[in-house]
Amino acid sequence: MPNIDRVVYDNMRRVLQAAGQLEQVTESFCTNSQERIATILLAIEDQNAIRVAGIAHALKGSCAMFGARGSSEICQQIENACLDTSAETNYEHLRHLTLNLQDELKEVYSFIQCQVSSDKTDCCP
Amino acid sequence: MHMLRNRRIALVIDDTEESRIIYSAALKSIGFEPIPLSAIPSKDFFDQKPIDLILLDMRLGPVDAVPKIRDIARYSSAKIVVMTAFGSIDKAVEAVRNGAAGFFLKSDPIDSLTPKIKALFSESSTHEQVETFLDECGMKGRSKALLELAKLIMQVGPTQSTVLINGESGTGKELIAQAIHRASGASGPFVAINCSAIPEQLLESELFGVKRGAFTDAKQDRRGVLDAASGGTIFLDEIGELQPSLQAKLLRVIQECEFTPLGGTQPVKLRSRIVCATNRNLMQMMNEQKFREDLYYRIAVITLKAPSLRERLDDIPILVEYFLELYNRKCGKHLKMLRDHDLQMLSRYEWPGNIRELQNAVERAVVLGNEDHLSINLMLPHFNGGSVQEKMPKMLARTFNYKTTMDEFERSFLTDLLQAAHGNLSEAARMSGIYRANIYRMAKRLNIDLGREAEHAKY
Repeated sequence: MPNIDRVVYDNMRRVLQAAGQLEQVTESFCTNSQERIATILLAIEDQNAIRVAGIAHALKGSCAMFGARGSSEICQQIENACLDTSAETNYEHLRHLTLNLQDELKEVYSFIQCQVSSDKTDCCP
Repeated sequence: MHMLRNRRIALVIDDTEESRIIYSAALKSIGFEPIPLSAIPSKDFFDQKPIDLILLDMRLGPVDAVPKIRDIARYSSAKIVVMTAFGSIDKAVEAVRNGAAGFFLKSDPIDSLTPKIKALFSESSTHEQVETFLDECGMKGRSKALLELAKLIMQVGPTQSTVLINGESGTGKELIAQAIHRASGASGPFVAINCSAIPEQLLESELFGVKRGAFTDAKQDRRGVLDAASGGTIFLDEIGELQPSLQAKLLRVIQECEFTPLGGTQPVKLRSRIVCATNRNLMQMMNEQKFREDLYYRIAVITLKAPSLRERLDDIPILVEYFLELYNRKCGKHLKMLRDHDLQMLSRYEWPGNIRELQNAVERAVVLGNEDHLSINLMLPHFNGGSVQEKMPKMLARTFNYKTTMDEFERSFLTDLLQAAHGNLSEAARMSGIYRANIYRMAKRLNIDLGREAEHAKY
């Protein structure tokens, strides 16, 4: 199970359901966050820590809104590692964190997609 | 002139699409007409459209939006609420200082955003609400520093985030913690514990509770304060004094949101909000490996600074009046308020012990006072009026001759400086930022015998 804050997620889900936009936002989150992960990995290859930090920060906000606490915390770790001026940036460590984030997000996607489809089929608890 | 409108207009400025949609939906549900944007629009946009609210992400791509708040406020009267993810709370607090009406954590349930927005547009003015809140919390004063603090407390109170209150001794950190508890609207109790006042072994059982038989004297189960504060707020004062072993245990409690009483096997769910306070520099302690970095970031999601009395001198008359009434009642006396001149003198004193020192001073003066009015001499017997600040008005009253006044000022300044530096010239130079050679020159011009002054300073 991904580390999800159910209160935050359920709250957001209710607001979006009422607006008829839950599916749209879920899809947008999944697509955009995957793109961001890909961009982070490219920026790591380019050794561009500032860019990595910027994207991780934006992703942190999106994850937080979905209650994806675990993913949000990994984003924070990536951001901190990029902005830490006391040591040289360890890009291998950043890559490792980003891959962890990717794995965590995969679980988040399946959770939230399942929640969306449960509205129609009751497939999830 | 703007036309009358049925719906308030809100800009939702965020560089991520999902944020724009989510916050727009939330605002729509409370009657706003949201306009989603990915960047801050130009001044022209605001001239053409009357905007009531701006929900602004603090970071728009590479752009830090916080410094832009002042610019927006110059050409729009819209209320600005900044949004941020956790880990950027200090920035959010800075945004409020720059003029934002409030902030919202993206990690908080979206349901908690709408009451905040509604409150911003409620009939009664924010200023009145802040003053009422101060009164309800028993926080005396109306200085700018205190009003700003109260506004922040009202903002952070309803969130579930941990809060760290920094501030010198005697600044009323516990009162601030109680105010946070009040603003949270939590139904549970406020429970305070001073981490420095209780021995380490005892502190652990005080915090986590004890199961019967955990040790020889544990004859029955005893709840810890973490449990006692269930549904409310636990206030850990002097958190900087917490021993390393307990730091690790507290970290685990916050991370896992549960704790196990001593001698117990079943973990208990943590249902209280944690507020900590310290007068120590935890950052420095972290660098010296005396305070765990991971614990710091857990307890300091939001940091508030308790202003020193020096930063809220305007509050001194209100505070003196309050304490005078309190101790008059306790001692059965009827002393009147300080005379105006004496009251002014109080703001020239440094108040290193802050409000607690002021309170003690008033108590002393009431207990020992035999005159009609509260006496400054009884309040501050050690304040001999020898400081430059105190001499200044007297000098200015005596003469308007610029050179004479400046000479007298410099003489007084140099004498005080040497006294404060215990006659050590290098120290005097360091304290004042004046080169040693210039101190020599000043002393020579004013006929001050540095050797004699140094001798005096030793006594």
